[in-house]
Amino acid sequence: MPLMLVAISIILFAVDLTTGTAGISFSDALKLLFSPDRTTPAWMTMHMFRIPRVITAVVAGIALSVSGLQMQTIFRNPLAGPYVLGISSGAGLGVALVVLGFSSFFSYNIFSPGNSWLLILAAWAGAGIVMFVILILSIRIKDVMTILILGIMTGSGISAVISILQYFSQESALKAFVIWTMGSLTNVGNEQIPFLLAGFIPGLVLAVVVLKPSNAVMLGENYARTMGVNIKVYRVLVFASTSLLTGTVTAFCGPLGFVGIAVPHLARMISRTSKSNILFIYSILIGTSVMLLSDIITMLPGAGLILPVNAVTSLLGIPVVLWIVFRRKRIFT
Amino acid sequence: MEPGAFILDIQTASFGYKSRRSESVLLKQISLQLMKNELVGLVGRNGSGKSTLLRTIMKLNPLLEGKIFLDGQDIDRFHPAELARTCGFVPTGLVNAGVMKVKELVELGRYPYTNWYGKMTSDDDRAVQEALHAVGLVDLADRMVSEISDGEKQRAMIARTLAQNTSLILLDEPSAFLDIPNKYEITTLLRHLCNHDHAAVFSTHDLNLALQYADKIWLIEDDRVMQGAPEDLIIDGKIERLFNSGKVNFDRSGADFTPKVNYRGVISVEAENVPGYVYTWTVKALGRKGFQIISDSSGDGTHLVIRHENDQNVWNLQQDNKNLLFNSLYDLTLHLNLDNHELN
Repeated sequence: MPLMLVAISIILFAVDLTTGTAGISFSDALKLLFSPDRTTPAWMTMHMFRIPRVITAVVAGIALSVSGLQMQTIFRNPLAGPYVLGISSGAGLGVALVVLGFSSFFSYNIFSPGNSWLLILAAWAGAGIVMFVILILSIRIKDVMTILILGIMTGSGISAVISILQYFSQESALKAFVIWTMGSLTNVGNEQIPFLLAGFIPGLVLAVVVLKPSNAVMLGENYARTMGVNIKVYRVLVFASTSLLTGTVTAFCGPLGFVGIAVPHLARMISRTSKSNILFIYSILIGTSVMLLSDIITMLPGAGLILPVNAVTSLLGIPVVLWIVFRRKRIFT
Repeated sequence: MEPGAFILDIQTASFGYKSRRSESVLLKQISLQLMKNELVGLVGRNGSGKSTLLRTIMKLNPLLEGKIFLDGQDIDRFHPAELARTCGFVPTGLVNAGVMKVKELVELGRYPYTNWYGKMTSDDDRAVQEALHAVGLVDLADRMVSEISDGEKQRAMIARTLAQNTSLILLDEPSAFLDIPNKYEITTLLRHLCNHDHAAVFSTHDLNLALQYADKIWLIEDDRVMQGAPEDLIIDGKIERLFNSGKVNFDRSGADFTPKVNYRGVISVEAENVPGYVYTWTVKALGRKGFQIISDSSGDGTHLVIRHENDQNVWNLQQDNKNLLFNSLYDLTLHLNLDNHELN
């Protein structure tokens, strides 16, 4: 089964790499990958747009799925996802402040090529502040459900602030912000990839470190404590990992709904286990496939049109979540 | 006895809850000991501090005062993983393990022994197999925890603590959610384990269960805990004192609870050719209906003879020169209800 998932991921990877608005045929695309001639526009398209886009899709898929898995484990709640701690709202607030606040005063085209950095930094700062607050709270608060409620409330509060900013902003700025909330895998170019990876890799390493205690936490925190798990350290590591993974991806790509909720369920369903190391591997493989598939779907309309990726992931993910609800899978209870 | 001889040694310790503002003490300056091969029943009424006592030993609750020694070492000095290798815990309630196989649940018991990634060595696998064997779940090892019965779940949880290979196992109300056969099965299992190199404490509010199986009872009364063999506590009247309330009586001679009744009359009972248990249950039924049993059948009071006739039990009630036959105790008790006024 894992081999089949690897095969699906590789196929989708190849298909995604050869899909795009530039109309490069499949065989040409493969040739271009290893072409020595670096001057043609097709080569430029391939290496400056498609490869970063596909890498971003893989990173986003893995990051959100692993985060979702961690959140569902720590909160023992099947509807928890990477955004329950309010990280996407934090990132959104950062972007809203720049796009809606900053640009109202300066006639400044926020989406001009050189400015994607500004957006990314703003989103990162917003997500970072929320993650910092949650980390501090997680050390002081005993009951993990209280943290969940705080996270959700923080998210709602921030969304309210964003609404106010939107209400008072100019039309063009508002549109720019709304476009950010639709998500995009194309904001990341070659020069941003190292920074994307700089947040992603440490987050993933932390996720591997907490695999063992995650198994014990499946039975509840008190159980885990009697088996020798240091719950406070575990929580800090999990929240740090999720914040790094989700915060980074959201900063670069905008919010991508439902991947993080649905993929861990698919992983459980396919693997029929709750062993965290197996679920981790399945989540990575399924997350990669789902995100690549979503990216391919965004380009289906053709003629240079790209659908908003957040909408695609949501439309793919919602049926999965509904399916789980209606099948009443006894995952945590 | 040397302090090191005890697996668990609680020295003038106080248990309860502590928050930033206040401290509420449930058990005050108590001292209790537990030796190898001992099964202890921790008995007390609801809210008396049974769980708090067990959770404090596991360091889930703070110790308010005093010292607790496990295997001769102060629990304050234990590193979390070290404590997990010395003392296993089965909390109250049934486990919610979701899509987890029985074997995977038991494997969690190896947590304090495996490396950072949780890799199972052959030693670990052997410990898991032995634990599954000890609780009789080898055949169910690959079943999902959500698919097995409540009694089997509880056995799986006990297997998990066995795989943890600790000197002591603490169980908080292990039989609370189980039906009667499972209750006895689980407690028999604990008894068996304690006969074979383990030691365990189980809390329960089922006094009968504790009295029948435990080597020692820890009886919580107010903020104190008394310890002793079950029989000692019965003879001393301590259990009677604690559990008697306005509505139930603890029967010191039979070690059982009976509803408190005012006797409505006396009956003498005689069993002719029926097994002893038919007699026992007849007496119980009569007791339930408010009749005192007397041994003297020579008088002219009410007299009951139990006979085995034509492959069935027959109750023959001789009363006021009438001779009535009943085929079941239910019919007999119905008659006694109706006939109440005729008996003194």
